[in-house]
Amino acid sequence: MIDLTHVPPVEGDELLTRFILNVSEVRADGTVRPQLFLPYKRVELSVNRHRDATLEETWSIGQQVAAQRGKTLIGRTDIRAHSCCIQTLNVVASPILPDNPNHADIVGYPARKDEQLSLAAKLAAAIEAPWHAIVPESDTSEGSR
Amino acid sequence: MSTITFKRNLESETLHLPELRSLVGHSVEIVVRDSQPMPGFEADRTALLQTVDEICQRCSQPGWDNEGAEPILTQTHVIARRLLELLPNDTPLPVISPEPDGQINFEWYRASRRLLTTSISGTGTLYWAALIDSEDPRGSCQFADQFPPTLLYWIGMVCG
Repeated sequence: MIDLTHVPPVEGDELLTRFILNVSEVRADGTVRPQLFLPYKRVELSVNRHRDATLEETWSIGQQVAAQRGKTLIGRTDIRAHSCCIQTLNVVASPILPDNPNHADIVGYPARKDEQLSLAAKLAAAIEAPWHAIVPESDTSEGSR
Repeated sequence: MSTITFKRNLESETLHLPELRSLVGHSVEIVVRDSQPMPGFEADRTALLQTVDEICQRCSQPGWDNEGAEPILTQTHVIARRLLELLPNDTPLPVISPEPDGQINFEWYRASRRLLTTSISGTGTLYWAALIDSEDPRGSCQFADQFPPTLLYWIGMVCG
């Protein structure tokens, strides 16, 4: 994980993960739906940086997030930071100390719902690979759907 | 749903349709949409109406997502049902899901860069956004007990 005492700004080529907690946010063809990137209540959206983190650590954070919300972790999808920096959007480091120095936020969502839908659709379309399903703890390989 | 759109100068022999007589000599855009009902459409629509009912029942209380979601109100449920009932029977059916702000989402999807996503609010405002390759139209319209022509147009662009 990133050094707690020195959290660097998010760089454009960094890989970010968005945890999937609802089945309605993914499709059977391996793509994710815009809903996964639609903010609610806040005009920012949580993501987790892969930087300096092992896959196990990233999955562990996902499990913690799911547990905090009383949900089951379904999987995660990865997106480059520069793909999130479209129109009004930007990505900023937003460490949650001491547990998750890798936390970041996609910020700058407009208040209008149609504008949010449009940006969310573009973020979902920018995903380069199929989403990853959560794997059992004993399995070290990447999940498959 | 197959749609053909073309522009031409309307001459007397272009179409044997008396309704078009007043436009003879004008440059017009002609849109021809195949309105043949899709096989199994009504059964699929009935099943989807049940899905809407189930979603609205499941999401009728505040915090239905364990994260403070707003409930889907009766008026939102009614509008979503009516919209589905008014969908022409030659049009693909959407995928339906609840949204944490209490709205209901209808999505028409062909590929990541060919989709229309629409949120239905309890006030009857429909918020929509489409991705058609590099085009990103979006906007809102008010539901007035007919299927909004704007949405029909973009569904045609996504699925046609």
